[in-house]
Amino acid sequence: MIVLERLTKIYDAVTAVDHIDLVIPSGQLVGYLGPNGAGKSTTVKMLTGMIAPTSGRAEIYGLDVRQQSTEVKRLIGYVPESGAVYETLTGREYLEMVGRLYGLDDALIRDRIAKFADFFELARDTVDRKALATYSKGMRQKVVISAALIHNPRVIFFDEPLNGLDASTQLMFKTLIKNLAAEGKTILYCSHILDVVERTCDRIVIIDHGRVVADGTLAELRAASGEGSLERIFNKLTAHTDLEERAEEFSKTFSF
Amino acid sequence: MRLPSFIITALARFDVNARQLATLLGVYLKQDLRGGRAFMQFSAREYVRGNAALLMLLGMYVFTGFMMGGMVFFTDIDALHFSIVIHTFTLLIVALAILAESGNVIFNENEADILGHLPLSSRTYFAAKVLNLFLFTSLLAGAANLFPAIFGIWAAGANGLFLPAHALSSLLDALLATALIVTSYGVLMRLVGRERFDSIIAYSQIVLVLLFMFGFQILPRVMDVNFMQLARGYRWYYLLYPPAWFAGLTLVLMGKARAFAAALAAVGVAVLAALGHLAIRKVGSDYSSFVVELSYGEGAAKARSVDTAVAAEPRGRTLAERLKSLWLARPAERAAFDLVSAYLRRNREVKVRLYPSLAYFIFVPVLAVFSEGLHDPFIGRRVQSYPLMGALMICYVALTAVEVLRFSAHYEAAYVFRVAPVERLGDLHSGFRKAVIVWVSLPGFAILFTLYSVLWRSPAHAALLLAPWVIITPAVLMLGFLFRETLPLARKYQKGQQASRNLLLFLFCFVVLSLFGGLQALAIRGRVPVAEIPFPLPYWSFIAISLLLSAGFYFGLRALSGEGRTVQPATQ
Repeated sequence: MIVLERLTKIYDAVTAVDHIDLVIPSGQLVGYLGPNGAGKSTTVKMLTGMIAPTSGRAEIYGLDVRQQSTEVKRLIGYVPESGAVYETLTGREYLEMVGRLYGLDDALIRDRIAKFADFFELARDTVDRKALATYSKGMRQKVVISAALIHNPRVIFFDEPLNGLDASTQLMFKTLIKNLAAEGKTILYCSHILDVVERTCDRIVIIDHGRVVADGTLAELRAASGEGSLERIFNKLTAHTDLEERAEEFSKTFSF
Repeated sequence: MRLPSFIITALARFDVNARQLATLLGVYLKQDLRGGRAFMQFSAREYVRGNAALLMLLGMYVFTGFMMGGMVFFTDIDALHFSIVIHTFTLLIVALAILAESGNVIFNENEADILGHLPLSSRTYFAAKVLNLFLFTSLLAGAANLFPAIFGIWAAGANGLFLPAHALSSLLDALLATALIVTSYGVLMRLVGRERFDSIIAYSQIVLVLLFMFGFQILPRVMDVNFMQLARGYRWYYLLYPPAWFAGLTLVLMGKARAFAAALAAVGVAVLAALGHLAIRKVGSDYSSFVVELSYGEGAAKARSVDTAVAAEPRGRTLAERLKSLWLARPAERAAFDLVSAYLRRNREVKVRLYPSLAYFIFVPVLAVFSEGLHDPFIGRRVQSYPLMGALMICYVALTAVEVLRFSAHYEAAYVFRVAPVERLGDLHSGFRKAVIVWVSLPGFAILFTLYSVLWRSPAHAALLLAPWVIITPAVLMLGFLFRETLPLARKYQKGQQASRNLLLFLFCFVVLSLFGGLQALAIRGRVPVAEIPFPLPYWSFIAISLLLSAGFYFGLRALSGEGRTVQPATQ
């Protein structure tokens, strides 16, 4: 379970996350949406212990994120939007490093690397011998996802996890996270790809300018907003209702 | 600001687009001068406005220039030789700074994504890079020559024109160092393939540093060795000595030149013109394609593949792995060790930034062998500084390695250290330190041990001399981790940080470790020179005390630095 109580982050004069209250029960797959700069990544970074909140608190499975950060980190996995890795390492070396940082036994790490490589269809030679710098974006993303799951976390934070993944891998991944949620894992899924969120998530939270503007199942959001698709709900709640007209107007300025 | 049309036309003749050049150069300068992380972190606030590292570097050079320029008031030095001394110093510091920084400027393969697809000619791109470097070196040269340019007016035979004349010739110093290094890299780019470039470029930097440092050794010969009795007049070998060329130019611009000074100036200008021609015509034209090749080419992929020796490293429970597991008992420690080890052995960016400092370690014993010689200090109790300085330099290089390894183009991946449940920051620090000891310090000591053993025909004496330095290495390395979080490869590199930190570390090593070396020398001699009184510490007890103090400092500093705490969240 994840509990956020008036969680706030202020950078100089900018309030990135503004007193967010949320409760996410175990086993729920929650889509966490918002326009660019809404505060999604900042919220996730506070929950993963990467940055300290300005005020408020958060708990993960009853453990305070600030006071019991090490215990919390043992429970969580994180896929960052950047997909950054240490490119000089091979895939295996990177996953071994992460596994060790999570305190896993070497034999267990090796076993799990083999399973992830098999699942993501990464050739053994690639994983063992090729530096991550030579991997395609999609292959790198597979390694990053593997690194987030290698220690079998109870809570997983995904920030644009489908970046660079091909269509078949995306399908595989969507099925994977649904199954993980069904097994009792709590998943917070940040994405701009609304149709994926629409089809996979049990619950959708929309934030804008650091505040929660909507929270519920898709059906509840439809009923509350009177809109049909998540895309229209999202645009209405984040005050972007005239996008098509603006795009049409703008494209006319480039007509020759 | 609009450039005059004749400049635009002149640049266009060399296939350089003036507007693109100005735009790109403006971007590079903003990146260099704008705020980023200060390299000193003693408070929670991590960001300072402006590039603090660059400001500190400039401050240090202004101070050093003040001290050097002050010699004019204490010695009977003429304008020519004063200028030679100052130009020598300028050329050395500028060259070393470029070598420390150039890897990130000239071979920034991350730019290929940003600029590779733009309609930017290779020469325009190259010109922006070179000008960026030149402006950086001009800043350094300007800082170092601020006071000497003024003080030089009081040199014998000088006049008020010394100030502008020396200012201009100092700029040419910076230009020569920039052109020489950039052209050397460019020639290397053309001669070797992409696959070999990575390894060769790092070693070539050592050669360049040695070239400049040995060149600096000519200075005492120019000064006729005795600093207080300075040379007068001209010598034929000034024609081969770049600082003398620009000193000649200073005299010409002052209106005080004789024929030889004019000849010196002419040589300097001719060499600069030749390097410029080589750079523009030969190097600049291929630069863009080389950078793209660096990022995307087949050679790039091959160069980034892990070599079979590394890939064939034993997995599982071999003896080496077992020993490693014993020495690196904690998983987080092992993780940090493996990461740092991999980057030290394979990453070009790390090698290019670290290898120039290896030259200091090579320079001292080589200089010793070819000048006074390296005598066995335990025979006849005749202790020279060179054997001890060789060991001191290894400590300096190891500290430099720690600084280099804090920064990386892959710094964003360091999120993993903040997300993972690392119980003790000290585990990451310990793995980091141990990797530097294994891959930098121990090989350095092994090389010195072999050299001294062969020269003295006594491995026992070589071991006796080096043992205290090996013992204090862990404690010395703590300087890089003192009172701060030092995660490997976790920070974004910023211009000036490498050079400024190297200078600070060098000063520390020179002052503090020289004291240690001095005590060692006294312990070997058994007596205090000049006073000729017995030194109360026998050598074996000096080693024992070094061991006790080193252990005390090491564990004490670890506790004081709070290494028992967890990795803290970033404040921003």
